[in-house]
Amino acid sequence: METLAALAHGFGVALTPINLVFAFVGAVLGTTVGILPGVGPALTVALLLPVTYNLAPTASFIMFAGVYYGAMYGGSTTSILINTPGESASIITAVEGYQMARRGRGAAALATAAVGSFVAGTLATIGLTFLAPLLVSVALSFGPAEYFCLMLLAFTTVSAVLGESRLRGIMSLLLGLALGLVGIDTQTGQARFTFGIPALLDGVGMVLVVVGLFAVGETLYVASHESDGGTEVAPIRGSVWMTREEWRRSWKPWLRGTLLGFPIGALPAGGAEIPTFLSYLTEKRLSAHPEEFGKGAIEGVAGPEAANNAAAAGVLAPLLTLGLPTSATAAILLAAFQGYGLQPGPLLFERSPDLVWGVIASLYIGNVMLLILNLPLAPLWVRLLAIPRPWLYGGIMVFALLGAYAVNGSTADLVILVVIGLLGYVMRVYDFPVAPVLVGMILGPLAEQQLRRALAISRGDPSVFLTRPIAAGLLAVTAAVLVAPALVKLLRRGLTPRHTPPAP
Amino acid sequence: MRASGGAFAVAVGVVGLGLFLLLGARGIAGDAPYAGVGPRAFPILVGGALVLAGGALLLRVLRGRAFPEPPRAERPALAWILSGLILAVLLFQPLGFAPSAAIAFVLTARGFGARRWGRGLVLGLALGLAVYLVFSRALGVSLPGGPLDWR
Amino acid sequence: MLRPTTAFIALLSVILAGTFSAFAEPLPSLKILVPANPGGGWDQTGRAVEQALRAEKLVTGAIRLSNRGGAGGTIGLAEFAKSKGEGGSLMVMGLVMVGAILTNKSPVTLESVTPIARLTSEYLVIAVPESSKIRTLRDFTEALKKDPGAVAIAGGSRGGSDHILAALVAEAVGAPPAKVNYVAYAGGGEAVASLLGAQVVAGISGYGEFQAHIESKKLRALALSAPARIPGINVPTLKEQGVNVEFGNWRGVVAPEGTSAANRKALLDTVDSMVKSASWKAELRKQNWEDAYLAGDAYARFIRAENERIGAVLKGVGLVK
Repeated sequence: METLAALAHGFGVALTPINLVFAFVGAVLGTTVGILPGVGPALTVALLLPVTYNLAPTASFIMFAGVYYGAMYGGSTTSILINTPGESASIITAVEGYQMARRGRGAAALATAAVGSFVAGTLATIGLTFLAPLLVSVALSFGPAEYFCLMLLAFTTVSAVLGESRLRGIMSLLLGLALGLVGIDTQTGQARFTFGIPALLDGVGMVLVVVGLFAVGETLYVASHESDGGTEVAPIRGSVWMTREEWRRSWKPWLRGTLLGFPIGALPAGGAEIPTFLSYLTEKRLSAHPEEFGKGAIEGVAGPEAANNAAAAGVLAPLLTLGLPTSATAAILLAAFQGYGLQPGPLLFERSPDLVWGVIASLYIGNVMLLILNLPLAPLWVRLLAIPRPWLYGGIMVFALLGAYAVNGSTADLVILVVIGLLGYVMRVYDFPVAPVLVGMILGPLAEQQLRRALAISRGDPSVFLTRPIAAGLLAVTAAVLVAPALVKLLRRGLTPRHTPPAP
Repeated sequence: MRASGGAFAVAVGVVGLGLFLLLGARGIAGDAPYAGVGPRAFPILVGGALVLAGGALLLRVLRGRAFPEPPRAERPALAWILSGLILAVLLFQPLGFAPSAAIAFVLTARGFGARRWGRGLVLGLALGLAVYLVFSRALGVSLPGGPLDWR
Repeated sequence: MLRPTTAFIALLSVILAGTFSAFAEPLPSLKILVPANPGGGWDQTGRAVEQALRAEKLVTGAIRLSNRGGAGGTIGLAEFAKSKGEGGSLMVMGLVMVGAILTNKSPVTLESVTPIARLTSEYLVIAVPESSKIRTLRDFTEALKKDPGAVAIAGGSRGGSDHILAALVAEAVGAPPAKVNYVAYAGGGEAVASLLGAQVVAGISGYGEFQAHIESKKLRALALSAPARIPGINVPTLKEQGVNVEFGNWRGVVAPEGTSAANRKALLDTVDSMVKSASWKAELRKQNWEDAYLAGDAYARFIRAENERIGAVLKGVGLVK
């Protein structure tokens, strides 16, 4: 129970009044900035980095913990209310969350996101406290072959977000894959499809695509096709809070989302998006109401939101135990550690126990604070929708410009934003689903690079995907996911007695 | 149902994008001494799939059963918002963040039917200025200040 | 290139300044451009410079640091070269930018900026997982000579410092650099993870990134790319093991194109006072960087020499035609 004693000590460090103030300030800042489209956790932490140079390390990391988790909480708010994800891990949240908001259940969607984030964040922090070294040693057995198979599994998610026409959904996916090809190819170092434009060498920015397809595309569409306001987002209908039914349907997705998010987040090349995809697919497959998916199923918000917060905690496992930054945000946190002359890794726990356990304790505190902060805010945020539409969408445009420009400080990015916004508009007009574009864009480059790395290491021998147990296992699960629905249909048909009248 | 011109254009666009990837892949040096799968493989795969999918869509469009006819767009609304965005992008560096954000704000609001220009301008400028001050001055994001850049 | 007259005036002013005043006038204000996103080595260098200048009060007014990432720093470079640095403006750069300019065929090169000073260098280390059969540098080079394809080496982006060292070592021991089975990873963390998990045979990285794992005996360091042993680092150099390669991932600062002689001198003086300050020494210790101070014209010559050397390596591995 050494860990418990150390954790108790950590709480002793974190629970001083001044540190609580820092945790609170971090939570507020993180939530506020995280809400803005295009301004995600990585940028938020980077922005606040200089602010903390004048603070003691413990205080500043406690604040960062609040910012980091807070930005993850905040990212879902605009996804749900105005179909504009704050960051790429909230894309899937927009799919069901926005539909819920349109049906007047926006506050419930925000609540299930907040409570789910709290549950997942807390469970994952417990996991981080007790399982981090074990988890990390398993994570290291993931090589390129395993990652490639994990990406294949994640690709099956697309089947759940294809929308009404399979052909159009696949085209959206292919478009995302094509966008993902732009930029320098890591393995050969040469540029592909950059047209000699330097701004494209690092690829088309994720933030630009998210903000362009969602915020700009949505605004153009709403203005030109829903000007009568007939399909306007409904004000709150029914209870402000989650109903008993909504609680009942949420708790299992929260737990499943956590189980997916934490370990995948802890993988050095896992990330926070993949678990949200997998969680969404899982919930759609397991739901008793699969027909509600795409029309505002609460499970589709609860699961992915839990998954992305659990992944955020998972990312800290390799960072604290090995000093490995595995996300943009983690890289900035690592820089912050180094700015204080601290080297995260196996020795950090021995050399600076106060700091490490203080940070871990503050993650628990930050989660509680964020829940307290966000639950009462849910109905308030919904009031955003009461802003007259011209001003609301005008404001969205201002933040879209800010988000697109702030990442790289480049006017060329603004041009790309407008082009992608137009693309998003055309896709909406012709009823192409938008989410598969982002699935393709996130997974495509990862899958390609991992495949080529795996084959370079095996010198072109594709059997690595079958001879390595984890890779083979993931392939088997992928096959099962693809075949299962057909199999279930077949079984049902076989089991149904012949004389039952056919369904109308 | 009559084949819609827009749907036809979309299908041709998809095929075109696929062909573009296929052609572009020829310009990529294909060295992958050990992996076997080189930097050309994925562009060819994606390009080929796009051509096939676009071709399938084209067939459906020609048979007149690809899309439900999209509802008529209100062109003026679209024009207002797009011109707002384009103006904002063009004037971003010379005028600075706040004024160009205000332009995007006002013209977007106009696209949504707001006719009170003055009020929109005041709101847009206030928002743009607030965002500029918070992000540029307090958080150190480098946003172009335009006339505000007195440092 | 500095024109002879400009160079002469600059030289003269340096001499005059050295004669008349030992102390630099504080700069009125300073802008620091980091041509990379927050979190990496350039960002840390920029912030360390900012910290040291602040602590030593070498700039009277504001110091503003901004990030402009992309394409190995060439996007930041293109913007910076054109900018007019009134008051004073510096951009962080280094070896990686030299390589990126060549591989990305950047239209703007380091010839269009005014070199101020090289500040730090970080030596690279070749390491293997503790469980590896390869126990010495000799084992490694023998394996590389026998069958380069069997020695998968993990590191950062292709054409970056890690890859260049791999090519230099291969060449020195007589293995064709183009045949090195180099597996590129985008982020430092991922490359370290693949080495810790023994997914690859060997890995190359800045010593700092492997340090904790070498000290905790998860990785075995085979060789350091330094010219001589570094105090406090118990790893033999490539040279003392018979591989004639020395290579540092150096970082420094430059001023925009057309910086006036007076402005250049002010920047040189400020950086000179900073480098000699206790605050800067503390920053170096904190980040585990080697002091590699080299200023002015000597630095410009060094950049040109590196450009030649890196260009030859990149041609050898087929990245530059």
